[in-house]
Amino acid sequence: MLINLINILFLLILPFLFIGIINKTKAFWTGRKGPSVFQAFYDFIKLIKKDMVVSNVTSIVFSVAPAITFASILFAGLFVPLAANKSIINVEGSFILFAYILGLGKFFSLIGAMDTGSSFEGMGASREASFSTIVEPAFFVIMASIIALTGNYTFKSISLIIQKADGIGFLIIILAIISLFIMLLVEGCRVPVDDPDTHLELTMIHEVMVLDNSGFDLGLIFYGSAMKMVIISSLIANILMPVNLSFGTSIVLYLVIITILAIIIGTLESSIARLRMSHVFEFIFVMSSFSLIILSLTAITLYGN
Amino acid sequence: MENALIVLYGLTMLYISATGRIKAHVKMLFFQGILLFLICYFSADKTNLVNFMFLTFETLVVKTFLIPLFLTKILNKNKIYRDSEPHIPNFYSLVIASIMLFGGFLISNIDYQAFDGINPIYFGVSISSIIISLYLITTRHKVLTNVIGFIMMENAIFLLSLSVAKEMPMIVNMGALLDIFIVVFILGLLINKINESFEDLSVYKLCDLKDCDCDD
Repeated sequence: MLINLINILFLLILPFLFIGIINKTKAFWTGRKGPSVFQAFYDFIKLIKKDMVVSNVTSIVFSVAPAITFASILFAGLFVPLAANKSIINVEGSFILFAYILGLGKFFSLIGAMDTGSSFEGMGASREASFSTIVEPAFFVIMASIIALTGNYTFKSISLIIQKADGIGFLIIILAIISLFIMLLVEGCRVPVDDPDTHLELTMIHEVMVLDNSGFDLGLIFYGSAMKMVIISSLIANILMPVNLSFGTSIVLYLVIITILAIIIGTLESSIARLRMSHVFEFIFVMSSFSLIILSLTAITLYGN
Repeated sequence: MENALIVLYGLTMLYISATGRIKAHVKMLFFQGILLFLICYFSADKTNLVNFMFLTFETLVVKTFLIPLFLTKILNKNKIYRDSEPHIPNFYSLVIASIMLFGGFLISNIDYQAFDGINPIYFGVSISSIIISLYLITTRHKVLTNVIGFIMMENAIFLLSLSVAKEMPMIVNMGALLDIFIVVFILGLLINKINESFEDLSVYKLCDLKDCDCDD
């Protein structure tokens, strides 16, 4: 019960801190003091207090899309193990439900963007959809391989994989972490896939889709995007965390790993530039390549001997 | 450890198929040389000192330093930086190379009993690297990228021979070295000649060298 409560708190609070730490890291590398780590939370409060401006060409789809997207991300977050390797809802095959619920959220954010009739937002939606076609199959292959290796059909399998970290298992863990990190950058729309700071429509993917949103909806979209990053970071953290840690240690270790991931993302954004659109696909496809290698290595481990 | 190095070797092939910069290709050749040396170091029979020293010389000196240095010299001399228009765009090359790598693993797992005593990761990566190199040779234009593809194929064959036998006969080693020597030798002549005649290193220029033109 206590663990569930802590996990719900983490799921709700960590997104703001995650964004805050990324921005603080970026400020550090550029020699600035930077905004407070709670700035994302203040922005969220400011946005939900504001009135919404809604274009009169939009339909009901546009008005419900941000809420459905946010709800789907929150619901998907309940399946993922956060601190202490425990997820709030733990059922067999939950990773399939997880991926499809996130897919539903993405679908609504896409049609919400297209509903405005703006050509820019349609372009952003098209790009986002094409990225998803690469990322989602790769995610399925990685999760299926991990489940085949551990023999556990719940999301807990990602915590059990560390026990197989000998020889080939170690390789699988490294490749899975790199792949999930690429997924984190793609889903969180961070550099080098997308630049959250730019507002030049032609280079944007996710930012361009929300140009018409304002007020409460925009706040939900930013919050949901940050929450998605925390959820995927939790997957990485759980791969690295051993199962049999004490309660306190596992919570501290979880927070440390999440913080390190945020610092890595911030450092990455300060050190490299956004990739050209034609190269972004190559970057994302690395995840698919890795997933195929993970699948091969899993097959060798399971049937090779 | 060996397995990690071999998978890293497979990843270098993916990187090469996705990049058009020739300097990056040369850097990857250097990196492959180091990987091959480490793989040899971990897997080769160290009791046969002469053979082991020869393997070290071949991988560390020839494959890691001599060939990349020579290629860098040619790059700088001819001022070529990238293979800008491959027949197939780099993204599709990456997709095809990934499928080939996966196929290599599949082949090495199809009938495991038949490959008794062979490490399937060695076998899968080396077979797929050979096929990826052949694919790269056919899709890239420049003489230099073709030669780099050929040297990569040599590296992959070297890896394959390591997978089949832990200890390679000296004569096979020398054969591999001779191949590389000939490639580099021909490359030196060819590139300098083409550069003098055409000021460009695209292999398409060679299509202009037809016998029938002499009759006119």
